[in-house]
Amino acid sequence: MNRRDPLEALNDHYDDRSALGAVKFEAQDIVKKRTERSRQRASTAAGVLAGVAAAAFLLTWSARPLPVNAAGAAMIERAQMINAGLVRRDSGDWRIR
Amino acid sequence: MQAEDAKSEFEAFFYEQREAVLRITFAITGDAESAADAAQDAFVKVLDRWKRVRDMEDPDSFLKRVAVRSAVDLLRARSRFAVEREGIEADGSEAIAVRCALSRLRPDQRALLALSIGEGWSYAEIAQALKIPMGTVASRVHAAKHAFRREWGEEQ
Repeated sequence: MNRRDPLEALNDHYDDRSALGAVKFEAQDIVKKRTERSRQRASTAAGVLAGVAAAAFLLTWSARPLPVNAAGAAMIERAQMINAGLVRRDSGDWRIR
Repeated sequence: MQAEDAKSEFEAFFYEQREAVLRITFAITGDAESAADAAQDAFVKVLDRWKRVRDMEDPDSFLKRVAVRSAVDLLRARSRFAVEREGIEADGSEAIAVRCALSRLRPDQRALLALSIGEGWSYAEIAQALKIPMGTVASRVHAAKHAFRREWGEEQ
């Protein structure tokens, strides 16, 4: 097998640019690619905006007050009064302070 | 009128630098298709900032730095070297052995070898392109050569 200095072989490898002969692209290809990327970026930004709007809607919707019946409403009212320090619980009963 | 001027200035710059940029990206990526992709990516990035780039003291160096980074990013993004190796392993020629050994190095090691050995850049130029200190470049080039020798040994 070959026992040449590896770095010498590497140097020869870099010197061989024959494969590049087939590569052709022009200035207008760059302009086209740039336009395409701008379009993609705009489309991504629109997608992100739509996602944010959808998330905001869902958050607002899930935070809406739930419908409650009369008993539930009374419990909520009591809880609010306790939180406000207006009533205290005494022996299982609710008393005004 | 100004837009037309900018367009023709960019075109002149493009045709002046195309071959040099392709050579750099080819040395790093090792194949013509990836080299063309990385070179085009670099030119698109420069075109995006053309007004600023054309007023730079050395726009050529800026373009080359962008090209190096595009090529390294592309190598990182494409983890297809195992496939490449499978396809070329059967042939025992030296050129193939070099490609196989290179394919097993990290993208930054390939870039360091390509720039220091292939392109003959100084450590200062490499440091500027890769945004790392010059001392780090020296030690990493040394390590990359060592890694290449090790991989080459396995190919023989």
